[in-house]
Amino acid sequence: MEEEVAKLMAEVAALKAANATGNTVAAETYYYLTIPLMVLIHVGFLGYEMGASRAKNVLASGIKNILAFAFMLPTFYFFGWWVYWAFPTGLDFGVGPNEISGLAYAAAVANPVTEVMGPHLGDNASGVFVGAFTLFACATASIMSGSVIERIRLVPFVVLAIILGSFAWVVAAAWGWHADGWLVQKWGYHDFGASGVVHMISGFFALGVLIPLGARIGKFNADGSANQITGHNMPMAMIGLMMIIVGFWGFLMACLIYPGEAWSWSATEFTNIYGTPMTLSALTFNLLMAIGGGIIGAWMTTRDPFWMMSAGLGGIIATAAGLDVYLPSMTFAIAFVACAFIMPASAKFIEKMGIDDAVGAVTVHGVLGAVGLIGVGIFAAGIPSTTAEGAAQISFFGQLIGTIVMALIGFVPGLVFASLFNAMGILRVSEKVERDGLDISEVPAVAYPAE
Amino acid sequence: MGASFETWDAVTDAAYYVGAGSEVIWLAIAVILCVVALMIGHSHESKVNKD
Repeated sequence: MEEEVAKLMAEVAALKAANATGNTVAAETYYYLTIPLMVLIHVGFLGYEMGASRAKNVLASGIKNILAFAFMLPTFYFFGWWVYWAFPTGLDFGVGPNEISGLAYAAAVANPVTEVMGPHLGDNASGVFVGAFTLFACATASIMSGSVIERIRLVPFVVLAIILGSFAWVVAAAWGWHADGWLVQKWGYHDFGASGVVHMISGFFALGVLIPLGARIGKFNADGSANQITGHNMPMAMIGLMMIIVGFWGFLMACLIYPGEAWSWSATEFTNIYGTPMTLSALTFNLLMAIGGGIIGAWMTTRDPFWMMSAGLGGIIATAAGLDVYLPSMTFAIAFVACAFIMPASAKFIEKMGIDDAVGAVTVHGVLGAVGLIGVGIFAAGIPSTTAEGAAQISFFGQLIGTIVMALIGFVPGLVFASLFNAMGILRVSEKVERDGLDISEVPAVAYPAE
Repeated sequence: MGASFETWDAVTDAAYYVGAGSEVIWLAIAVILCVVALMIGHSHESKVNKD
């Protein structure tokens, strides 16, 4: 009898070990697969940005976009991941209530000169987490990239992209997209799908750069009226935008925390990044409705295919912060209204201010990101921000504070560093290069050979 | 740096990368390569943009 019990116990232990291994590999694979899906975002941004450029600038725009992507990969590894774990409590590098933040914790989990940031058989998670976050960083840089096409110099742009992608948005994520983040702990800030910490930051950073950068030659007339500068291949831009939407399935998939691992919030169910429960199914309901609402809303008021496709993305952004808790029909309505009315009004206002945002990034990401945050404050107020006892509740005021913080973390560094480069005379290409086209001046290749 | 590769038995729950030198040296080299690429790119752009 004792022998049989011992045998059964051994079998149970073996089954548990096999189950644990299976769960670990499934979790690792889950995040690994989000990465190529998010690379599709950059396929999309590449096509979108090149299509929105005139033929004389198409390859220069492509190179700029590719380098924004490429420089995020090492720089996020060098210091971006460390920033995420060091900064949650603010600028004091303190330890939050969950004890997963601060200088010592960052040194333990995100120091690139230690064994934790390399191949390690005892760690199936760090590499895929760094990968997913790096692709979030790439998205921020690409968002800014489109707005400044056809006149910014490449190297200052890359430096700005590094400041945005490997530092500014990461600070915002530490504050508002981390269970120890002070915005979450103190104000109940809720931003499931990164309306604020990715989109708003990037849109407002772009705005900060656009002000000192100035408009493309020919965009505005002497009386202040604006001219339409049409890209050379709008079908390419539209397909690019659709590809970004495809990639956002991976982006939002990576916003969930897989269950059953030592680092999971739950043993049995998916949670969001704050540890509150949700499912991929819930996300799917809302994501589909957000895309549909955005496109249909923009079609109703603009009839413009470029804005319709932008609105597919805009619908996601305007609801991303609450995609984990919204009712799908409400998601549709928010996305519809945001893209039918707020998006075109914002684009018109920005143009009226004399700002040449070539692809509408300030509107689609910055303004609609703010809509996403405020929407949660209106429609999800009262929900506890985490599962901890006494957790701060989501509130309109908390979301408003978060919105202001996100706008500032994006806008201020963008404005300061772009102004600095402008004062140094290196922000913008010369007038001759701009008139001749950046490709013929800077690129040793031809986009569309005559023969 | 990393585990010993004299036998794979030692590579259990451990780091297993190779590298001549130390992590700090390779990190420094990687950072310097990025900076050099940017400096050369800046030099090229400055020439192109001289009117």
